[in-house]
Amino acid sequence: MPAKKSVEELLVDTGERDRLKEVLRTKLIECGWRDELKEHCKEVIRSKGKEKITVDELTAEITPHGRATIPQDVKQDLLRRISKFVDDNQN
Amino acid sequence: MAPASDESPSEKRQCCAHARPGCGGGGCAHLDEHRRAGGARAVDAICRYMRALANRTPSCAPAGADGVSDATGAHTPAFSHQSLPPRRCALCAPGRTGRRVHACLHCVFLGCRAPAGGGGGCCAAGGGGVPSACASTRMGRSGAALAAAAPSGTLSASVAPAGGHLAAHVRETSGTHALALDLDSGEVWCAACADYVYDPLYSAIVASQLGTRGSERAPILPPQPDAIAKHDGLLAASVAPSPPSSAQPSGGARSGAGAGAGDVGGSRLREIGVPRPLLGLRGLNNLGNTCFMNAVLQVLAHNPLIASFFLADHHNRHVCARLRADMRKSRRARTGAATGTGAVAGVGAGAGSADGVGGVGGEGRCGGLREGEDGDGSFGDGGLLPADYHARGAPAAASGMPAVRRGASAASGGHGAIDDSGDLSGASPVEAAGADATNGAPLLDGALGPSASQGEADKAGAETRAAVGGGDDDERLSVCVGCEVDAVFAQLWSGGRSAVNPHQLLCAIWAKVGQLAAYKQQDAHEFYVALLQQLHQTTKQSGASAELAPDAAGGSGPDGGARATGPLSPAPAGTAADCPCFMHRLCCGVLASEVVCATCGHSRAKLETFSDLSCDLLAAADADTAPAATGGAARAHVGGRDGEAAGGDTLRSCLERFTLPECLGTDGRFHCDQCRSLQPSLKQMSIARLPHVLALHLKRFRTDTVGTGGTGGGAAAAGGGAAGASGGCGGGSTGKARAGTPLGSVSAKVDSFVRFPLNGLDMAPYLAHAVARGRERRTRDGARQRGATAGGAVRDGADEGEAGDDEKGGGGDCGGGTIFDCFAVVVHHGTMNAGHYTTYVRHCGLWYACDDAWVVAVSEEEVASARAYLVFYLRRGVTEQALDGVASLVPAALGGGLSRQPDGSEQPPA
Repeated sequence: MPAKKSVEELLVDTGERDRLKEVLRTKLIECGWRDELKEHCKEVIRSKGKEKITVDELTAEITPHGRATIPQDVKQDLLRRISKFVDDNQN
Repeated sequence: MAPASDESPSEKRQCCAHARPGCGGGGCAHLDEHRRAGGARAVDAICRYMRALANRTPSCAPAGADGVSDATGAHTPAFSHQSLPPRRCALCAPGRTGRRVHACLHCVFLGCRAPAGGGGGCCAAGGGGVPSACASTRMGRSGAALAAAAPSGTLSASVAPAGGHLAAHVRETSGTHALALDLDSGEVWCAACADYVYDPLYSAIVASQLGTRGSERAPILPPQPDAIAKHDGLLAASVAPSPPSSAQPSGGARSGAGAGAGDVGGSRLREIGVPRPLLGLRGLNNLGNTCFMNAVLQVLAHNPLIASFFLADHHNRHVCARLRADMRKSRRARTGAATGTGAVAGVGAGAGSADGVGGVGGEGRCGGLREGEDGDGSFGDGGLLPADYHARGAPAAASGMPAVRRGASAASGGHGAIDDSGDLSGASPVEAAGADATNGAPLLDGALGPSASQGEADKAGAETRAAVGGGDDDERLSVCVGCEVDAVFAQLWSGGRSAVNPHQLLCAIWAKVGQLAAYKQQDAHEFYVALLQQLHQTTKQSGASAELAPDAAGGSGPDGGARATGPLSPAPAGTAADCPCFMHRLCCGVLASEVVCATCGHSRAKLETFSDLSCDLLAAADADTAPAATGGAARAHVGGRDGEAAGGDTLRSCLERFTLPECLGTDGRFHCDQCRSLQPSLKQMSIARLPHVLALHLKRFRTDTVGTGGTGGGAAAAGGGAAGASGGCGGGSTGKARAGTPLGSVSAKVDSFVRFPLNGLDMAPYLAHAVARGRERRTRDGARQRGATAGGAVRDGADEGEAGDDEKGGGGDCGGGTIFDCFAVVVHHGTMNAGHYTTYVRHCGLWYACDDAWVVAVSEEEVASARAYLVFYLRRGVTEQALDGVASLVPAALGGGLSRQPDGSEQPPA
């Protein structure tokens, strides 16, 4: 019997993480989160200047904003899916 | 998510050497050098590897990764990817895989990349948060700074050094391995420039293999012949050490790129590895006015996700049959039924097939749930179909109305014993009685005449049911539409060329959906809905949701606009929307019906699920909506009843009409929570959640009540047009509990042409948030609140979503998850009561017309100019993986596990 795996390992090994990522992506698009974040990105780029910004900088700037604006129900749904997955497979 | 660095070079980067208009710079010297040295090969190899992984090829080293053949056939071996774990950083601890895995372009290495200058990066326990203060320093930019910023150079597997393992790799190689391909986005990272760099050739290679990430991924349909040829041309160009001009996609090396539309079966395609193009295309015989069924079956068969669901054995009919038989057995054992009516044995014709075939798994999930077991000896060949099964042939088509009881749906506990060749048996009581003796045995010769078996079955049925008390479940278990569909798909993809007889499926449907029984003409839309319902039944998790009765509500939408038929759930979104079954995941969307207070703008939304959207056509809308209503009608002023509206109707305008706000008038005032009083309000429909498969139903069949201006028309026609009791082809259901056609009504088919896009339908403007934003903007701009400008306002909303024209691809970056491509169109020819259905399907990138048993290749123009009745779209970029979560949701008690063996047995979860 293999040693008990961490949740993250389980998610990755079964490919569930990718699936959940797809689900999450879809939800975030549909609730408008992505469009909003995109606007924010554009603002950041405008303020910093197109020439000087790099991907990493941009990412760092928008990450806190993005995390803060995720709708609550999306978070809960994802948590629910993960815990369900874990329940079903943790044996 | 790349910044739009498409202008003059920054101080760190030089524009790529062959700057040309549209190239946009953004390259760097390192990239140029790499490309000149033939680096495109590396990119190609990596892409093929990832693509093969994405398709889950069994071996870790897919064929493409062994090497790369250019157009001249020379084979250049590439590095081996045999030992690489998929998409995982080579150095991160297992299970703590870093995000943003990059593949080095210079050697075989996969490593995670974290923003330079940040903390421990991806692999650290804290996740990917990077303090913004650090990130804004420009220290991390140069390679030297990277080295300086690194902690002690040890690469411990559990904690990634600054910049991730990729940065460490770069350091190790003293900066020579500067380039890496981001496996998530397909962009090339240059460690020396500390930013993503662009090269048109590389982007093209990635795009043709993996699809573009920035906007939408490529459709999951197999690559088109042109794309493959183009890709090969690109590759050939890059391999030859030649001046930049030859790197152009249209450049010379398109040798052998003759795979135009006509060269479908050509050997060129086989070389490339496209699946044999004609496999999966097969005609379906018309068994007597069953064109509706054939049309819908072709649609399902050419939905790549549904097809692969069945072909990947997610509903294995043999296993399902065994499972159901087991369940029946255990149930009988539990209830200790007396099953000794011996006369039944003779009716084994029905019984014999019961377990070999058919049957609905009303409970439990069909397919591969338990370890493949042999069952008891009575299963004989283990559930494989007896040899003479198919020889039974088509049903006696002329046996008139088969002895089917109306409303013989499982819910009502109807018997469902269809007698055709006796193949199908809903005859569970029969088989219940004769269970052990005849299970799995070959069908008895000389199937008893219908009446005989029917009579016996009835008798046995009544007895057994009384005795067992679980008769309902038994019957439910004995016919499985999913299994029948599985059988049909297997035949479609078997490589045979003759037309398929889907008679078992027909019988199964009759057993389950009484309204569709008999050989009358039926409505394809209704059939589609019923079939989805049945497939839901057979693939849902046990106990996940109650068995849903077919929605009998022809109930009209509140407005003259389109209404969604939602037979998948009459219940609120909480239940069916969460149903984890495959069908729901695929086809179920959620509509939001918002009531907005006209005074304060406060809105309240009600959610309901839908499996398809029914859209009013222009002519209908024009005739039916009252003049005071929405702008849609006002715009459509020219639309004649039978002619085409000036300018023509488009699918987009249908959808716009669907999301038009409707003023509820003084009667319909709602209590607004914010204003705390009754206020005039607007009602607006929008889409809260898009399904992956979007089915659009154009309401071409309408009934007008003569003399009342046809107000009954649009509304009553919701859900497919009520043609009253005649049940004409397309005329609506016979059995649905819809009010009968009032006297003096005129049924008519609206035959106008509705233009619809074949690719790139963008549903973003109709999503709830876009609609809400449009509405808010409108009220903010002080436009008239009555919604009379709704036409213009929705266009605003649409513009904001910015989908661009229907015909062009969906608007650039806003697309993403909202772009849809058409894969099937059902067309109705003829009149309301007597007509014929045909289907256009997209198969391997090409369009074919399926007319019962005849399948012919057609041009895109022909499809685009067809008078569509049902149009089916698939969301672009959806992969099977996204939907494969079905496997992970099966509870362990049912043997839910992760790997499924071909014979249906399951690996126990590790």
